[in-house]
Order: sequence, then C-alpha cells, then structure tokens
Amino acid sequence: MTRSLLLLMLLAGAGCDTGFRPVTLIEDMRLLGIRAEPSNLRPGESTRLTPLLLDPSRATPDTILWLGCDADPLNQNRSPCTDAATLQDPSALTGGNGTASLPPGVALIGFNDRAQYTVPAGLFDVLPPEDARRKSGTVGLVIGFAVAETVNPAAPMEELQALFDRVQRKEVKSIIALFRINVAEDLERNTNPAVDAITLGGERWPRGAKLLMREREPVTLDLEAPDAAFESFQLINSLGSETRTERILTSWFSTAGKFSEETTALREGVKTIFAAPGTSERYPVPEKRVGSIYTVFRDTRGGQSWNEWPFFVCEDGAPVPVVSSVDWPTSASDPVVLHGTELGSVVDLVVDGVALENGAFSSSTSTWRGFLPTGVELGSARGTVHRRDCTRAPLF
Amino acid sequence: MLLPLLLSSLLLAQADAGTGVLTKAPTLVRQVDPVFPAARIDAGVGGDVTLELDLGTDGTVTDARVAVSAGADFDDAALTAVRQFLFTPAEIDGAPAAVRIAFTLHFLYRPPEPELLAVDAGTPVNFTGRVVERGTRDAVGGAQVVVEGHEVITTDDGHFEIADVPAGTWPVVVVAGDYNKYEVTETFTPGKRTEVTYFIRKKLYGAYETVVRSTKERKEVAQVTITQEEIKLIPGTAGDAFRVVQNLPGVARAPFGIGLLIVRGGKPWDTKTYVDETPVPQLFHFGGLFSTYNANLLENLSFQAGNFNADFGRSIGGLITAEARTPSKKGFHGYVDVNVVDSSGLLEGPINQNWSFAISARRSYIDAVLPAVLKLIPRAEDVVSFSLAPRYYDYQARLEYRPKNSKTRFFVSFFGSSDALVLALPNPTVDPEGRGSFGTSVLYNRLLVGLDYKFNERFDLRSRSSIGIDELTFSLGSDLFAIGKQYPFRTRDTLNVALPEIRSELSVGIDLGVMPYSVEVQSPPLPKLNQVPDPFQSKAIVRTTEFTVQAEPGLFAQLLFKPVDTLRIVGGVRADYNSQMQKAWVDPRLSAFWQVHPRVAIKGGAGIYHQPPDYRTGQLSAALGNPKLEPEGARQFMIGGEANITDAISVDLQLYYKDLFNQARQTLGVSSTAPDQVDLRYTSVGHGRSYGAELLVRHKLTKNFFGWISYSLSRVERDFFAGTVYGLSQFDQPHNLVVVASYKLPFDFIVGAKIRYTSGPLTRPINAAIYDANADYFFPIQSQQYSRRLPDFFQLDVRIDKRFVFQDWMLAAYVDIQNVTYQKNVEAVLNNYDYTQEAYLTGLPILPVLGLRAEF
Repeated sequence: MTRSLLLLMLLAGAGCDTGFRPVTLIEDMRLLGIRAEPSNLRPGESTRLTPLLLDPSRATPDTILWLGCDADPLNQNRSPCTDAATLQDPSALTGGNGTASLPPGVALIGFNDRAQYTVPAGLFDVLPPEDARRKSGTVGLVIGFAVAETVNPAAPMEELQALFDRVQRKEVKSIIALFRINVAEDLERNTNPAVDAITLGGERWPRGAKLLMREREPVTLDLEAPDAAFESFQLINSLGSETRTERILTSWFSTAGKFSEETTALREGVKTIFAAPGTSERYPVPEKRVGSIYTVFRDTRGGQSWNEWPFFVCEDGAPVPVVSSVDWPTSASDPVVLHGTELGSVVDLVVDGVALENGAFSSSTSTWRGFLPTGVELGSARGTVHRRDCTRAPLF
Repeated sequence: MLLPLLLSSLLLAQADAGTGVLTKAPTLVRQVDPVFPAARIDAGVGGDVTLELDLGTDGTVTDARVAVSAGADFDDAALTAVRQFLFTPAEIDGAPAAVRIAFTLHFLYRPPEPELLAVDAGTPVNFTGRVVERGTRDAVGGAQVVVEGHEVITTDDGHFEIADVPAGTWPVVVVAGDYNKYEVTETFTPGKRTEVTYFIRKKLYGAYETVVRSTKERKEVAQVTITQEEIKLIPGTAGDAFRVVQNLPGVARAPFGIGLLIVRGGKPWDTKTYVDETPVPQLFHFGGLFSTYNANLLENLSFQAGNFNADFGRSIGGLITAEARTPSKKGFHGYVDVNVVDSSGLLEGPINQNWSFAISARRSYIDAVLPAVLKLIPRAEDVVSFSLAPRYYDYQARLEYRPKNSKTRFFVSFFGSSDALVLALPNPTVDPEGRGSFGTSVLYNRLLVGLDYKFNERFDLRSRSSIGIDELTFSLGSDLFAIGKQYPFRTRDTLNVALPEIRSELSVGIDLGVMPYSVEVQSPPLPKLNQVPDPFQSKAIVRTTEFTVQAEPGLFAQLLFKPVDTLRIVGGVRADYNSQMQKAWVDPRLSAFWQVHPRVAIKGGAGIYHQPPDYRTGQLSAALGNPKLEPEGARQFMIGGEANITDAISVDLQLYYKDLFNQARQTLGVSSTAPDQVDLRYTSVGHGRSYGAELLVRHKLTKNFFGWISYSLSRVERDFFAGTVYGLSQFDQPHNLVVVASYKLPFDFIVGAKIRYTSGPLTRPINAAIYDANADYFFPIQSQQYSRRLPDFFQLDVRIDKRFVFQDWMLAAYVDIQNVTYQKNVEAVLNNYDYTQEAYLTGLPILPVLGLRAEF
C-alpha cells in the first residue's frame, strides 16, 4: 500500500524537471553492457567477456579491469563480490596494494577486451548428485571496474595505486559493474540475442545506412529480430519445470537526442520515439551532424548483444548531389566510386538494401567512395543515394 | 407584563481534567423570578444576562457569576434570583456530580396588558404544538411559549398545550436558551384547535455544544482524549478522528504524511488501534487521507503514547482506543458528504425506546478521477496506468440496546474496509521479467458483539467479542504474489469490582485471540541486507503455503488504589502466550497520579511491554522468517505533570524513556558456501531506545474556541544490519511542533488553522552505486547510518466551514486546504540513474479538499 502511494507521489512529481542527465544520453564514460560468449556455462566451461564501454569525452580508450568471483553452488546470493561494503571501495576490491590481497574468492581475470571467466568443474560437488540445485543452477560473478583513463595492464603497482587514489577522490570517473553468468549442469545453451534491423517511422532502414532525421523531428524507432532470436527454454525452479519463450528487452542510448522510452521489449507494442537533436541546449545538434544510437539487447537469461545505429541530422538547403557516373568494383577490395557534382552532400549509397561501408567524399578527387560490405554482392540493383537534406534519390 | 424567562443550557463542566458522560442533566425545580428593574420598565427595554452557575452535587447553586452582562441592574437582579434556584442533581456516568452550567436569563419587556384571563381547568385546549430545532428537528424542551397572556413551558419532547386562547389573531413568542427569539402570528377560530410546529433557530450551529469534563476516575497517566467536536474541526484532517492523533505529542510526522503512526520513535507495528476494544488491522485508506472507520460514529478517541495499563497488551508502542457512540434516539438523523475524494453517508435513528441503529458507508472515486487526470498529464499514461485505479470503501452498521438511564448496554456492530489498486506498467523498466503490473489489496471485516452490564453497585462487566475476515494481497505480474488471510476471533471481557472499603477498584479480564491464518507466497528468495540483489533470483521462485492457528490467550489484572483522595495508584500485570512462537511473557506495570494541588498534579509510570514480531511481513514464517523469534520487548518509563492554568487552559508535560530489546532484525547474507549453513533470515538481536519530552498546552472547548500546542522533543536510536551498527533511527524526529486552533465566527462560520513544524526526515547517504549489467540499472550502496537530515518541514493547513440552516436540514460547505503557503517540503531525495546527481522530492504542493455535507 505504501509502495503504491509512493508510486503515485512519484507520478505526481513526474512533471517536475530535476535537471538530471538523461540515462540515455552518452556524454562521458558509460558502460552499457557486458556480453559473455557463450552466455551461460556448465561446470568446467569458460566464457569470453566483452564490454560495451563508450566515452565520447576522451580521445584515448578507457580501461576496464575484470575480476572473477567464485560461484555459490547454493545460489543464496551471498558472495564477497556482491557484498555492498566491498563493492563501494574500489581499492579494497582490487586488492589495493596488489592482487595478492584480493578478497577471498576473487581473482583477476583480464583487462579490456581480453577477459575470460571459468567455472570450476567441481562447483556442485558440495551437493548430492540428485540435488535439484544442480539443475536450477547458480550464477558465476564477474566485476568489471572501468576507469576513464588509459591504463597499461603491465604498469607497476604504484601507478595503479595512484590511479585508485584518484578514483577514490573522484578525480577520475569510474564504474563498478556486476555481471552474472548462469551456471548449471545439463543446461540448454543460450544464444546472445540477434537483431536484424531498425525501423524508422515504420520503414525498415537499410543496413549500415545512417538514419536520416531532421532537427527536433520526433521519429518512431523499432527493431526487428528473427523468430530464432526468441528462444524457448525450460525454466526450472521449486515450482517445477516450465517451457518459456525469451523476452528481448532493448535499452536505448544515443550520443545526442532523446528517447521517449528508455527501455522497450521487442514485439510487445511499445515503441520509443526519438526526438532528433536540436530540441534544446541539453540536446544540441552534434558536430558534423552525426551521432550514434546504441541499442543493448538483453534476453533476461543473461544473453546480451548490442548494435550501433549511426544517424545524420539533415541539413535543410544543403546542395543536391548529382552523380554523373559510377565506377563499380571489379573485386571485393575495390571501392564503389561516384563521380559528379556536390558529392559532399552524399550521406550514404545504398545498394541492394545495404549501405556501402566507410563511404566518404574526397575533396581532392571530387569523388565519393564506399565499399561493399563483406558478403554483399553487387547484384542488379542500381542503388539509392541518401542526401544531406534528408532526401533520397536513385543513383541515376 | 414583565417576563423574565429562565432558560439554561449546559456549556461548561468542572475543571477536573477527567472525562465522562453526562448521563443526567440538571433541571430547574425551584425558580425565583427576578425583579425587573423599574428603570428598565420605564424605558421599555429588556435584556439577556448570561451567568455561570456552579451546581453542587445536591443541585443547589453554590456560586454564580455574570458571563455576559445586560447592565448592572439586570445583572444584580439575575444574580439575586439565580442564587435561590434549585436544580435536580446532575449525574455523570450515573453518579451525582458537581457541574458548571451557563444560564441565560431573558428579561423580556412586554407592555402592560389587561389582566390575564384565569385559566379554567375545564377550558378546552385550543392551541397545541411542538417546538423543534431548525435544521435538526430535535425537540426543544423548556422553551417558553407565550400568546395573548398565556405562558407555557414545553415538555422534554417539545410539546405544549394552551387552553382557551381567545379568538382572534395574536402574536406568539417562543423563547429558549441558546435559541433566537421566535415570533409568529396565529389566528384562533372559535371551536377549532390550532396545531403548530415551530422551528426555532439556534444561535450557534456547528460546534462546541457538548463538552463535559467529569470526575470520572482516571486510570491512565499518559492519555489524551479528543471529543467529537474537536475531531470534526481540526484543519488538515478532513474531519477524521484518527488523523487527529497525528497532531498529538509523541507522534512523529510520517514520510509524505501518509497514515503511518510513528509513536515515540517506534515502528508503526508497535502502535495498536482499537475500536470498541477490537483491533483495527488497517487504520487508514490509501494515502492516509481518511481512516477506515467513520469518525462520526465515535463517542471519543483516546491516545496514549506509552505507559498504558495492563488491560491492553501485545504492543510496545502507543495505544489508540476509540469508542463508538450510541446511535441517535432523538429521531432519524444522518448526513451525506460529498468531496473531491470520496462520498459518504450516515443514517441513524431509534427503533423503539431502547433500541437504535446506525449505518454508514464511504466510497472513493479516485478510480474514476485518476485516469482522467492522467490523460491531462503529458505522457503520464506512458509511465503508468491503472487496470484498477486506487479505490476504497468502508462501512459500519450498529444496532444497540441501551435503556434510558441504565448502565446496561448491548450492541452488535458490523464494520469493515477494502482498498485495492492494480498498476499497469506499459514498459518493462520495472521488472525485466516483463511483470508489467503491480497490484495490492487489503480488506477487513468485523462482526462485533458488546455488552456492558452492571450486576450491582460492586460488580460490572464489559465484554467485547469479535470475529472477522482479513485479507492482504500483493502481486507482481501473474507469478509473484503474496496472499495473507486471517480469520481472527477475539474477546476481551473485563470484570470491574468496586472495593470502597479499601478505597480500590479491581479490574480483571481475559484478552483472548485465536487467529487462524494462511499465507500463500510465491516469490524469489528475500534479498540479503548487505548484498546486491541478483536479478536472476526473480526466476528462482519459491512457493510457500502455510496455515497456522495462532492462539494468543492473555490475562490481566489491575488495581486502582486511592490511599488518599488526591493520590491514585494503578498497578497491574498481564500474562500473554503466543502459540506460534510458543513463548509466554508477563508484563508488570505501575502508574500513579498525585493531585498535589487542586490545579496541579504529578504523574509517573513504569512498565514492561511485549508484542509478537510483525507476522504480517513473514517474520514468524517458517519459510520466510524465523518462528523461533523472541517477543519484541520494551521497558517504558514516564514522569510528568499536569496543571490547569485556568478552567479552560491546561498544560501536560511528560518525560519518557523507552528501552527496546529483542527486536526482530533481518540477518546479513553470510559469505559461506557450506551446504549446511542455515540462514535464519531473522533474529531477535535488535535493540534501541527512545527518550524525550512532550508538552501539550490545550485550550479546552469553550463556546467559540479550542486549540492546542503540541511539542515533542525526542531522540530515537536503534541498531542496523543485524545488530552490527548502532545509530539514529530513521524515525528520529527531534522537534515536532503542532499548533491547532479553531474559532467560531458569526453567521455560522468556523475557521481553523493548523501549523506543523518538524525536523526534516533522515536518510542514508549514498556512498556508491554499482552498475548491474544484467538488469541494466545502478544499485545504490547506502551508508549504514541515517546520518543525513533533510530540510525541516513546515505546513499550514486551514479549514473553513459555513453552515446553512434550513427548516428540516442543514447544509455545510467546507474547504480544508493543506499546505496553504505552498511550502515545498522535502520528503525524500531523488537521484539520477547512476546516483551522481540528486534533487529533492517535495510533497504535494497544496491540497484543497472541498466538500458539501447535508445533515438532517
């Protein structure tokens, strides 16, 4: 009852502008997701960890340090790696003066994109062979400690300690992330979710092409995923076993602009509306009018994946490019080259529903060049030019 | 001729601070006409003199004073006359008592007339009628009806008869105390009887009529009693009795002002509420705007912040006891109240001379209004919508047998309440498992039978027995839920024995509860206090079904001993047993009240208190809690004093200390992976204390004004994290000041105001936040201490009532505005997604409750 009242109170206050940074806006270091491949494990197996760590505020890459924590075979959600007192102190978490003094059950398992978590083969040995908890499983625990500095993993401990001190004093932004990997005997392998395409205003957008949107324009965004992405699985708990189908939740982020919904679920009706940049000082049109939307998918079983969808904020009155001729590639390594006038206004060239990669205008040659994505063949299509003024036109 | 009219009305009472019920009003049996001052006759003017009369227990006038003068000559004449009056003795709670009354003498000048016609006993009655109060239709007894030289006094039921009024058209005058003079012209025809009903208008409507402070023996040392009229008019409470308690010393302001009672720093579970000695499991509807029991049916409401006697137990905090009143025996009455939140109605009346009934109900229409409001707020429906918007209702029905002037009372009462809501969350932000709805409901129903019976002058019995059905549900999506059902039977039977030979009164009783209850919970394991919750645990659903019959037999005995007239000592002991816990406890309690001066008393108390842990939250559940917990305990000490500065103004000061032990505390998640590690979930290691001072300066109800100043200075400490940390409790609120005042203005306006100032709420600072990469949110890691105090709270509430009186009914319009000054009081701290930014969440800016109330 009290909770419901508080909800109502919060609702009443929902109209108030707190001035908070929106969760969807990527302005500095953000850790948006962690992917394990494979996403769930049997005892004795290993998985590779990849973070989605972004930082538009820095030119050099941020650093993430990975710690692995022993799984609790009893799955009672009690571990030094989930202990609030430990987690709030990064120096204690990382051993402070060396990995030798890491908390019990904690081990350093990697830096940046090179991290691997392994489950001991005898994890469930403390349980009788017929114990249901072997099948209902537990979680392996991983802590990702990200700092907005470029750190050499081989740096001396003094250097790392100095970094921890700066983090402690909040001079350097840091993020401590907790990630769990489902572990069970005889489990069904869970595939990280896959998404086919994004739709803009209901139109399936060509793969790889920048989303074209006008300043301040609200556009409805949705995602398409293949049926296979929605896996069936057996849910095992004390109530028994039940077949369920995965849900795929999407978290929306962008380097500019804002969303009406921070989270949506695929194929469940609610769509997010993206207000293109330019609506206010908080959401200005980005430099060079380009930005990115990131979508992070979670299948609620521990599977994660993400996509980046670049966008271009159109420029009304931009010159209209005229393509006079095209040099089609004769090999996979050759670019597609456009000749003509005002080709600097070409945003993308879409061929057979797929945008050319690394497309760019060369002022020295007055040509526009792009490469066919790997696996895409020329086919018979002639292509469509996406222009800076948001118009799209056939190549000729 | 000259017509001094003698009319009285009970207004005041003895200065003794105790309370009681006026069971018999004094009536005038010997009247002496005052001498109409000659100068006034010559001037042809009259006047009204209002006096205060002190009546002794034998009905004689022991003292008289002029309260409202009509001039020295009228005053002297009035005083000379009234000092010779004789009344029947007033009775309070059935015993003769000294009382103070207001008495108005009307000197009504009438020009000399021809000599009065002698009334022949055989002369036929040709003018009959009834005098009733305009608006309420209550009979007006003792009114004087004058027509053409004839004068009669109406009977108790307002009737009058006059014989042989001469034919013609004559003015008729009706005069009664506290009523405006009523004048009308009637035509009398030979051979015909003129029958009339006169509706006379009260001078003052709406408040402050019934206040009687009696010499009833006090047994409680820390009790504050509020009367019906006070309840109705306190601003910011919407006329709700139980919300008034929130304005008394010892009661902290709850977060958001919702209906949680935090008494002397105790958790809400520590304070119990009883109506007719039957526990009320849910005191307030959603949001705490209204209580679940209609305040209009209450006779009175008493609040004790602590140190209550042994007749009540299973509570270590405060105690609220309310008694329902006898339904009207003076005709059918009721009301219909419509305001912006809900509507309610009441109907009561006599069945016959001894039986009467009352029924009432309330139903909210937030469920109809809120969806429309959400449509007006941009994007609000994207955030939340309601499958079932918040709605509540409550009902009360009462049938009572109470012969006039009898101590015997029997009643059957049926009452209950229901609240429900279902929130639909259209996006999956709240729960990654897609549980897009949250629902909760709470209801209770009670069938209560009560009997008061006086065997003789020595023995009387008070019995209250009830059965009920309670249900509390929570749900999240379709697969997580908790359903608790209870079927409580309770009986409290108290035998009072008067022992005048040893200047004592003994009370013994049983306080038995038998409560079969079922708990059906389907949920993930409870999160650990010191661990970041695991979102995958929400799939590890555990279903728990328990059925328990919990027996709570209790016995109590207490002795009120008066070694001398000025000293009262109450010693008591109660023994309780809880079958589920398989624990028994004995609580001795002692209190004393010493009237060191007619206007000054000192008082004190000490006692031990126990209660079962909050089984509603699963603390005693074998699956969710720990059935081997100890009963939670408290040692309470209080010392204080009372002083009656004037007849109207009193001061009550209390100093208290409360030591808490065996408090149920959630355990920490032990970092052990041993398979035989037993997680008790709860232990009884908790401890704490609260201490402070409470001051109540109170202006009792007088004709036009009442009010009080309540100030609490307190400190509350407790342990946290399974006893590993000790510090300020989240309920610590050092300063709490409430000023309440209400004043009755001419033209049936009443205005009231309430000011509340309290220390700001405490929060735990957030030290860090952990990004949960599975659930995509930041989990805050808070300090273990409530070490951050938010800004102080200030609020001004105003209430204005205006009454329109019609012949058969009255219409009251009111506006009860909370937070008139639009103060942005800080209730909590809001944080951004990663807890690196914060802002204050302020309470509701302003809340006007407009309403209309038709009374008949």
